[in-house]
Amino acid sequence: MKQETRESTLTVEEFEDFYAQKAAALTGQLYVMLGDLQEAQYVVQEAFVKGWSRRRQLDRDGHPEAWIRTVAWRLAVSRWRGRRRTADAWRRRGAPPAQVPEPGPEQVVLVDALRELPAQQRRTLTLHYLCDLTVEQIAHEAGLSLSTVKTHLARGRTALARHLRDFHFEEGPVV
Amino acid sequence: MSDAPDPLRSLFQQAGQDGVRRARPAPVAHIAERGRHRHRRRLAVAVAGLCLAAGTGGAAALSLLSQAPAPVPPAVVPSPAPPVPLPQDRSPSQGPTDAPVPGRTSPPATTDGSMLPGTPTTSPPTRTTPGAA
Repeated sequence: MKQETRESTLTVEEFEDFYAQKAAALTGQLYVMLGDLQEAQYVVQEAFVKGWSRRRQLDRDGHPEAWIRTVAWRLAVSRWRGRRRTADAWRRRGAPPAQVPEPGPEQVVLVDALRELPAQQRRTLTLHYLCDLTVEQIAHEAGLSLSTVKTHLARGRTALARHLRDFHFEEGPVV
Repeated sequence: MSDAPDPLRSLFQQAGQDGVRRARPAPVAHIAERGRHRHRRRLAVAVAGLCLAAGTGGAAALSLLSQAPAPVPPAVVPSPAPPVPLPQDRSPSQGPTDAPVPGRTSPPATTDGSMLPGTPTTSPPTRTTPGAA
C-alpha cells in the first residue's frame, strides 16, 4: 500500500518535466479565458508553485493539467477584485520582452469578444473549443451540471456570433 | 460533431497558439525554489499550530488542576440526636407550636389561631419515647 502511494506521487523531476511541457500551453489557455496574457502567466506560475508542494494531490487526481488549470482559474477569479496589484507585480518583475510578436487581428477580436462575456461562459467556451473537452469533462472540471454547461456553450456561441460577424463566423450547433 | 472544420474552434486554437507563442514561462528552477519555500512555510505553520494547540491544551489542563476544589473530608456517621420530648398537655387554644413535631400534622390555622371551620383535625398520634417509660 505504501509502495503504491509512493509510485503515485510525482517526483521532482517528473514535476519539472510536466512544467516544461505544459506551462506554455496552460498559459495560452488561461490567456484566452482571461483575455490578459500577463495575468495568465502570473496565475499559471502561481498554480505551478502551489502544485509543487502538492505533487501527491496532483497525481492522485490523475489530471495534473486540469488541476493546474482549475487552480489558476480560481486564483484569477479571486484576483479580479484587486487587478491593480497585477500591474504593480509585473512592473516590479519588468516588462515582457520587446520581441514578443503582436497578436493577429483575428485573435485580438476573439479575445476582445470573450472579454464581453460572463466569466463562466468564457471558461466553458475555452475548455470546449481550445482544450477540446467534452461537455461531461467540462462539467466535472468546472463543477457545473451538464445542462448549465450546454447553456453556457449555446449562449456564449450566440454572443460571439454577434461580435465576430465581420469574420464570417456563422452561429452553428454547440456540440 | 461534424467533420467540417469549425471556424470558431479554429479561432480559439489560433488565439491559444498566440498565447503560447507570446508566453514567457519562468524558469523551472524558479518554480521549484518557490515551491520548496512554500512547502517549508506550510510545514512551519503546521508545526506552529500543533505547538500552539498543545500549549493551549496544557495550560488549560494546568489551570483546571490548580483550581481543583479542596478535598472533601470523608463522611462520618452522624451522632444520634437527642429525641425531642413531646409536650404532655396541649390544648387547641395554644395554637401551633413554632417547630413542627415529626409525625404530627398541623391543620391550617386562621390568623387568630383558631381552626378553620370544617377542617378535619387529626388527632396526634400517641408516641412513645424510648426511655421515657
